Amino acid sequence: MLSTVDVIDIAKVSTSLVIRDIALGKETDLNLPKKLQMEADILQWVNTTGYNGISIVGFTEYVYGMCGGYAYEAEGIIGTGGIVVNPSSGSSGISIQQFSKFASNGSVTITFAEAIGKTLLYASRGGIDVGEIIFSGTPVLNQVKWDTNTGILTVASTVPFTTGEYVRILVV
Amino acid sequence: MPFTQNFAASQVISTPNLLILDDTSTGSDAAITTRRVYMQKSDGTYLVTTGTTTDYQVWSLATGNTISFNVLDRDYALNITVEWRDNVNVLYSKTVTYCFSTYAKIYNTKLSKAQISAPERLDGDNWLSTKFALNTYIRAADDAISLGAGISIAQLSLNKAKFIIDNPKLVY
Repeated sequence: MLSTVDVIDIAKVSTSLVIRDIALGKETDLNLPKKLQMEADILQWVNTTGYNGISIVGFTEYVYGMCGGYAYEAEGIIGTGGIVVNPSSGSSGISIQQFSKFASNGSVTITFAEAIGKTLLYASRGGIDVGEIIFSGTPVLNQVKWDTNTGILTVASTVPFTTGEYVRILVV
Repeated sequence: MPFTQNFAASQVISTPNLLILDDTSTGSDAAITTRRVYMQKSDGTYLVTTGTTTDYQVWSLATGNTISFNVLDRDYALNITVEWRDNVNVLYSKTVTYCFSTYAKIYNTKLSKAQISAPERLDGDNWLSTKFALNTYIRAADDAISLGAGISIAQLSLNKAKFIIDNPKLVY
C-alpha cells in the first residue's frame, strides 16, 4: 500500500519522466509536467499541515492517477517498494498483474472482471500509453477512468475503441 | 541566566485569521514589565485588532507566552517586531519577517478538490493557466521571505494570488 508521501515522491519523479518523454516526442500532453508538479506540491501541503478541507485519500488517489503509466517507472526508480517484486526472494507479497483484451468497435468501456478490486497502474490502447488515469468524473481526450469496484475501464467518448483494439492494463 | 529575546509567529489552517505568537525567549530580566507587538505591512502601516488605536498590540506578561491576534483577514507578508519593555523604555527587541499565505493555499487546494470531481477542468486553458499562476505566486511569496527578499516583493505575489481568489470567474 503506497502512502501519501510515496505518491508525492512518485508524482515528482513522474514529472521528470514526462519531460523526458515530451523531449522524445512520446508524450503529447505538454502541460502534464506542470499539472503533476502543481498537484504534488498541493498534496504535500495538505499532508504536512493536516488540512481537512479535502479527502487526503481521494486526493492521493487523484494525484497517483494523474501519473498514469509514469507511476510504475517512477516507483521503480525511487524504490517505494510497494510494487517492486524481487524474483529472487519472491517474498514481496504484492505483485503486479497484467491483463489484456480486445475491445469492441464503438464502445467506450471495456471490462476486466479479473481486475475488480485492484488499483490500476497503467493502461495502453493499441500499444500506446493512455494519458491521465482518473477515478471519478468523465474522461476527456486521452484520459481513462478506472472503476475499481467494477473493473471497468472507460475512455473518452470522442475516442471510442475500434474493432479488435488491443487494451492492456497493469494492476496491483 | 541572561535574557535572550526570541519569538515565533504562525498561522493555523483551522483559523487562518489568527496570527499566533509564541515568546520563546530564554533567561530572565526582572526589569521587563510588558511586551509590545508591531505587525507592519508592506505599505508601512500596521495590522491591529479592531478597536486598537495604537500601531501596536500590548502583550502583557500576564497573558503568558502565547497570544493570538485576529488580524489576518487575508494573506500578508509582515515585519513582526516584539519589544520587551519596562514602563518607559525598550529593553530588548526582535524583528522577523513572515509570509502568511494560508488563504491562497486553501483556495489552491479547493481547486484541486473541484478537479477530483470533474477532472476535465484541469484541461481547460483558463483553469490550468490560472492555477499555475496561483501556485507560482504562493511559492514566490514564501520564497521571497525565506530567502530574504523582503515583505514588499512578497506582498506583490500575495496580492496577485488574492486577485485570483476574489475572481473565481478566472477559472470557472
